[in-house]
Amino acid sequence: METINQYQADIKNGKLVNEKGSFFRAAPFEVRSEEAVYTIEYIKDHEKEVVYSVKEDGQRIGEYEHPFFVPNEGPEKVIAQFSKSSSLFHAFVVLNITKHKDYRRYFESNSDGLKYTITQKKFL
Amino acid sequence: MLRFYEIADTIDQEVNQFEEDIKDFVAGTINPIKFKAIRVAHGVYEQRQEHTYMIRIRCAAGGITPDQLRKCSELGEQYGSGEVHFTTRREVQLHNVLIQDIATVIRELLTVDLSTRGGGGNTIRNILTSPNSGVDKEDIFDVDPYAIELTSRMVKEPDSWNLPRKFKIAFSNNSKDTAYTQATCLGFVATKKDGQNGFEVYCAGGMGAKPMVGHLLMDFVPAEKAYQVTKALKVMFDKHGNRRSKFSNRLKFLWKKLQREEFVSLFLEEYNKISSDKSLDLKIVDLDNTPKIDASVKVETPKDDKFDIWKDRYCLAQKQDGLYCIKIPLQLGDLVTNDGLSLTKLVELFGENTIRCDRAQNIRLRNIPEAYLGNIYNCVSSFERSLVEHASFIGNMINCTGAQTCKLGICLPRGLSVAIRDKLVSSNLDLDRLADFRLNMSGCPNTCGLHHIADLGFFGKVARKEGQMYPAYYVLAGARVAAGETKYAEKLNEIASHHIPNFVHDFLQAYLINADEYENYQEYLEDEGKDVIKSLCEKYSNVPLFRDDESFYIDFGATRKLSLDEMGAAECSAGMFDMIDVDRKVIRRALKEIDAGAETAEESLYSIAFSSTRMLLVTRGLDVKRDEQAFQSFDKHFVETDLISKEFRSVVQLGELVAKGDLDKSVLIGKKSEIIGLSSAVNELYTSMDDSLRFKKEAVVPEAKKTDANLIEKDFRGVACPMNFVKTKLVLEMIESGQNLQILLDDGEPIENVPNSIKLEGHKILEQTKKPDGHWQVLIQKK
Repeated sequence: METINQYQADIKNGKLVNEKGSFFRAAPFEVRSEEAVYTIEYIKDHEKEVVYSVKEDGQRIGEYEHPFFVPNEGPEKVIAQFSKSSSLFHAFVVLNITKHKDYRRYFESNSDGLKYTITQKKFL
Repeated sequence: MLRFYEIADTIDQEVNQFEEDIKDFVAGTINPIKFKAIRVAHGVYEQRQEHTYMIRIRCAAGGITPDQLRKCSELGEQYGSGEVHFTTRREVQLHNVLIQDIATVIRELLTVDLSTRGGGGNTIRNILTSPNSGVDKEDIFDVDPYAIELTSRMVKEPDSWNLPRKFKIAFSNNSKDTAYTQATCLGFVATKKDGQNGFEVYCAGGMGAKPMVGHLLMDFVPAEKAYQVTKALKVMFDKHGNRRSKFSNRLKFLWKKLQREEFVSLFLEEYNKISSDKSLDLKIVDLDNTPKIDASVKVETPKDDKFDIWKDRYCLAQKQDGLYCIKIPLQLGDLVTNDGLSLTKLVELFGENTIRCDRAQNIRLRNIPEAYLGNIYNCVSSFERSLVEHASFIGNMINCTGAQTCKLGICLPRGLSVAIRDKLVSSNLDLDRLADFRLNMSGCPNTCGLHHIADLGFFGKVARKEGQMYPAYYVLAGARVAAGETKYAEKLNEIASHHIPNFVHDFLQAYLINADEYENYQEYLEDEGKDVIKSLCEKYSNVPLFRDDESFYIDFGATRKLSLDEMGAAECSAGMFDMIDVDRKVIRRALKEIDAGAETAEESLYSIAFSSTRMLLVTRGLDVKRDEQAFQSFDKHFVETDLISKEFRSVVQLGELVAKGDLDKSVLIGKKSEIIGLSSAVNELYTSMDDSLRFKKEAVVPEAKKTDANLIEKDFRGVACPMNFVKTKLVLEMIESGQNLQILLDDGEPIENVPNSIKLEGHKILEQTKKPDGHWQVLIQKK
């Protein structure tokens, strides 16, 4: 059976070049680049707080909390550590999930060459 | 089976519709403003964290049965934050619910006859009573059954769901007024006249940022007429309330506008129509406050020697011989799952009428035989989280949730409450001497923490030092509560959040040292207490610089510096005007972009044209799903009717072609002045609209439509509330007085809502017939 997407977007060279549908921030979505596939869910953690839970290629790599939904460390450090995650956090900025100024500023000058797709399946 | 209200028959349909609305919202076909207006009336509020919800559950008279509370605990564990939160409005809430779980939670609650309907929005809210009504030795009579019966009627009346603003009702069991009737829209205080039970009636009170004390409306009304009083005031509010401004639309503002004579006259006009109709009298079923314990339940010995002090602090003999009511002090109003499950397992052995929520966010048990107090003690003293080991002063402290979850919150009173508690319990103050002291705090000027009726109160504000924001509170003191004598606390000074624990300690210490010299706290306050407060505020006025002590700029319980970044608009007053505001903001922003020489002027011009045409469609009962429909509908309902000059028709038609993709947006560049002129004309029309959505300028109805046919027919099946009402109203505006209009409506909410609303407009419902396929045919005669 064909799966219906609620939202799909292509990012090329750090720019949104193709967007279709309506993105809903509290529904699961996927960020797929050549380096990695991230699946992101808006779920409750073990303390019953609502977080963005991220899996990279099926392995949980982080849970990001309100209000910024990004790691506490700055983007330089995070992305230096996990270079593949550029697409993930860039997507968080593009999708307005994080409003963290440092991350927004970082990607203003560090998004050249970023290429990935965002896909969100129909949720409810 | 005991239930504290009946649920309207239409609830299943309403929940089904709500579930569809949730799906549409997730799919992006309902905008957030419209969705807000829908969900708040279902008691669903978005927390400060986007897409994370609080669900508020109605508990009339603060009553909830053990099986209902158990269900709430289970749902809180499965879908919420692992807690049931008790509120200052004597109801319960579940927090941290995700959007995909909302409908499930609401349906699960219905299985135990609990409803979230009217938990928010412009509706009849939870009806309150005195917490010990029915068991209080000072009862004039038990008012709980009145709140219960009134709730059951109000939730079934469609006009309860679309009032100009929220409508709060309270019943007090005596003149001590522990339900705070003068701080609410409509209040009933039990009294007797010639042996007959009745009420003193107060109205148009309210707290919030502009507090007003309620006024005496009737000095005596027979108790069974409480329904007619409520109905009349509700109808009057519906007719005359201000729907336009969400900042001045509570009933208290209507009183202020009309003044006593006109307000009372309009009320009596409605009341006199129905007061003598005995069929409307409340049919009261007394609640059973007798022991229900099964004799086989074993009496337990208290597990430790602190039982006696607990009994002194928290147990009160009822007017029923041998029975006790017991206060269970909760930490910050939260009952964690395991505590909820163990409590309900025990309490159900004592019957169904055993639990009340109270306004200090605690639980009150009732109808517990004295012999079993040990059983209760053993249970509550084993709670994972409670304040049972402390003096009752600690559990009586009230705080709202503040910025932790509330979108309006500035400060974090939950964190402050913990800091004050830690300070006081580690001090030598004899807090047992302050058992009735009200220390209330709110995180913002809204009064969810009841600071206006505090002995000592605080409400949150932002303060600044060298441009850096730090959390602070205004200090209030001296409220008095009694029927006819209520006075709100006076704002005296302000103080930084981090100084408050020491401030409270010092003030209470000063009071306790001198309390014996005074008749009561009020007297102390007037004589020296206010000066003590002022001098302590002075003592604690020092605020360190940010660079010297960053922690001072981080609120209690916060992890980062005070920020208002996530503050949002009030959740509960969402409605039509919020939807209009969305377009007004878009227009303003786009105009600024053009002024600033935006590179993409065509995008800005399109935004102006589209939002200008969509902005007022909602006032005509129109909801569009595609851009081109906005232009088409605007042309039909505003240009064709001359509400907007026909000189703008060409630009509206151009917009429609762009919306369809037939023309490129760049064509709009050459139409800049016309598009800006259109937005000005729409804004001018909006400004001329009155509180009931009427424009000063009359719409010119095309002659062809001003038919003189005896009967006009319209099919509004498939049209949701309130659009079906708005559409009906618009047709009625087009026909002559005395002409008949026949409409078709769906079953459920539409048939429940529309005819009543039409009647309120003064038209006659001549006939209302259910058709074999389930829809309704309604015949209306224009007034």
